[in-house]
Amino acid sequence: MAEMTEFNTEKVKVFSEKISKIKEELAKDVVGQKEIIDGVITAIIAGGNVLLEGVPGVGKTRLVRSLGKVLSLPFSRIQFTPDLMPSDVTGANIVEKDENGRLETKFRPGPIFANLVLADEINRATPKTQSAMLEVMQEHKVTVGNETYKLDEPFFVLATENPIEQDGTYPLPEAQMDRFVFKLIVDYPTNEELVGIVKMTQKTMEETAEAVVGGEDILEMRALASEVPICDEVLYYAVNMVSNTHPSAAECAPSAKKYLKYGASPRAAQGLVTCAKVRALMQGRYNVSYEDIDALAYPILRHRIKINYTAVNDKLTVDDVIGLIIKETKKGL
Amino acid sequence: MNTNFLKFKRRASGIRIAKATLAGAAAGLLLGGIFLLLSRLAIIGPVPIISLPIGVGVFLAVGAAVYFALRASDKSLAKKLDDEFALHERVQTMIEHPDADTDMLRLQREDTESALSKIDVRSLKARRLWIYIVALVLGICMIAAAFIVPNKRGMPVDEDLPFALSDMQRAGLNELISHVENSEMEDEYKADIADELRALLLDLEKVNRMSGMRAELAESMAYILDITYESSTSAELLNALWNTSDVYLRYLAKTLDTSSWRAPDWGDYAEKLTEYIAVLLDEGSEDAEKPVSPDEKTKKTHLIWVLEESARKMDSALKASDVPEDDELYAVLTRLASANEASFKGYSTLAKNMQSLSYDECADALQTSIDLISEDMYTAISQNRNNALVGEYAMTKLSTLFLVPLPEFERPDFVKNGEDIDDGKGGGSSEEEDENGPSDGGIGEGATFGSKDLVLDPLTGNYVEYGTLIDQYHALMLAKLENGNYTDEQKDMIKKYFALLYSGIDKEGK
Repeated sequence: MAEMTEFNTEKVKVFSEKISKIKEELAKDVVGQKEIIDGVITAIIAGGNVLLEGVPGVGKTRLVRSLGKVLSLPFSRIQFTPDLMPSDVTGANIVEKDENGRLETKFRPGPIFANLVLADEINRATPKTQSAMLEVMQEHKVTVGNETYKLDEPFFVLATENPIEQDGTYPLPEAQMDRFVFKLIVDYPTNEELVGIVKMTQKTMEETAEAVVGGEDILEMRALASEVPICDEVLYYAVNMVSNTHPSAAECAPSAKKYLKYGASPRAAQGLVTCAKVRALMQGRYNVSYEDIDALAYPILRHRIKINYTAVNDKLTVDDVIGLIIKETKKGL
Repeated sequence: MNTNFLKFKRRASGIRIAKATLAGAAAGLLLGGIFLLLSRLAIIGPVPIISLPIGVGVFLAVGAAVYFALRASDKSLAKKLDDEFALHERVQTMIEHPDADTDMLRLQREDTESALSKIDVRSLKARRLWIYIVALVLGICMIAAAFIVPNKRGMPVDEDLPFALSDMQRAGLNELISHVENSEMEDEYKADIADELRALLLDLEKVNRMSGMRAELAESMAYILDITYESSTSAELLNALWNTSDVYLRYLAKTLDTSSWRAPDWGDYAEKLTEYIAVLLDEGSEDAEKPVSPDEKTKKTHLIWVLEESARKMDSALKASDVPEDDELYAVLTRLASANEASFKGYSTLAKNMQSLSYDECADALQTSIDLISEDMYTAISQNRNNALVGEYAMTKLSTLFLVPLPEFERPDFVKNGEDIDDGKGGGSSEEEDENGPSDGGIGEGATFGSKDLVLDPLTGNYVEYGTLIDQYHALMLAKLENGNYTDEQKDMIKKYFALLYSGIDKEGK
């Protein structure tokens, strides 16, 4: 027993060290944005996709590119535009002459075939192209024609959105939004952070972060995090929180009834618990707490629920409503 | 395993026991105290001691109820520890996985135990303990209050009820006034008593509370008592005779004592005076000094000596008493003494021939002189007695009409000196008294009468059998209680008093 305990202690120690190294390396290319970095790392270890929303120039793309370097994962970037076709994302069968000159059909994989995919300005793509991402993000496989191609693990999609330019954009459908475990809001940097950014980029615009972990490490960390226990009280708390977002439910939070059009799907509950385990381990704990659930409620729920006109009228944002739901869920403890 | 958690569990259990004990004690003291208070205030029937088992029972019941109500599962204790010490749900997670069959679970357990070991078990406080302490203090105060308040159990409730002179009482008073005025009391005394009764009647018309009525009655009865003492001097005079220690005067005093009379008629009195003469002639009393071998001359000489000595002693005894010389009985006694003496000192026609009289002739002469004043003696004695009886009757009537206690009245009795008049040595009843019945000691002093013994009926002024009188009073009392405004305590007391009177009657009708 002592041996096993030591072994797992070692594993946990390694886990913590790797997390620290990842953060250190990312800090070389990305100034500030600690919460975004933590969120992204949490999502990666949990095996989920992340939607980053922020104004241009705040470092969304740079973050993902650095991440790809740090994690030593094959990285690809897809710049979504209105004319982008699904086959531009997934790949297509093409007819080629072989060495004997005979014509044959060959599958040329699209940029989606990577471990880490940056889907830049995903809301600019047409719904048809967006839906091509659905299967990939959920099942980690691509079907072209009659063939299905599995993607290598770990597979991770980091999408970005520009909240300003709404002209010529196609809001992501609910089904696709649900496939992102987190939606992280990248805020405009503070003055200090901006100074740091300017100083850094004066030297070079290139990412300088180096690889510290590999795909296998990520999978091991994911496996370790999944072992973290969660007590029934906390589990029920997480589930109640998601249930409370449904205004049509018999027992929902009063704020949900008042301010929401619709609530979060069961994937929210799954993502909440999975990511809470990762967060607990990252915090040096061996169990999930209410604090983990509360902290992750915002990135988990904000893209899965929709506020109504009453909330707009009362000048409430999605995050404000989530805050109210958290309070009301706590009262039920 | 779970060593540190078990420490907190024991601590929580101790807190629970403490709270249960405090709650039980508070409830027991509070309820027991309330019960005790109500019992001591005579608001409820059961005796105060019953508050003890009630208090103990409540203590046990409430204590047990609180103990079980506060019972907490391991889960709830774990939650409490996580919340109070910011353990981030460590303890709850550990409790849910008692087996800890994976490495991560074992790590989690060790981490939790480590976190718990850093917390002092005494940090787990008893929440809201102050409520229990306050309740206990209230319970103690209630018990203290219950003991501080006066115990009213068994005490008659003293309520100053309203009072209004009833027609019956008014008629009774007027009847009493008429009785006094028509009685055989001496005029000056009965006028005083009648005037006092008229004034009382007027005062009672104005009084509207029971306390006022009682005060007026007490004042009037005290006045009547003074008149009674003043008007009935016989006991004082007879005491004076008794204190001379002269056997003849003592016998005279006994003879004149009306308290032993049952029938106030001349025959009985005359018989007693005859006995006195016999004593004087050395024929009645065994204590009289007799000559050893008396011849006629010696006997005559001795008789003269006895009479002279008695006269002399009586004179000084009467003068030494507080009775004024113009008192009728005083005057008659003085005449008796001088008449006796005069008979044998040559101051009367008979005395001239004293030397020539035989002893028997002397005895006849003595009889004659006593006969001459005996009627006056009887008149004086009777008057005295009538004065006392009217006074006593008036007070008894007032007591009966208004149901107030009689004043402490001690009929002057010459046995007060503690000597028995029968044996000349001390007080107590003589054989003669026992034959006639025990002497009463005055109004309010319960002598035990036989149901056939005759006593004065103050309502009519006649002598009736004691049993009949008691029955009349009992009937009157029951009627009054039925129609009167009395508390249960007062009714109970009155009924018990009559029960005692009945129990004093010798059922054999002695």
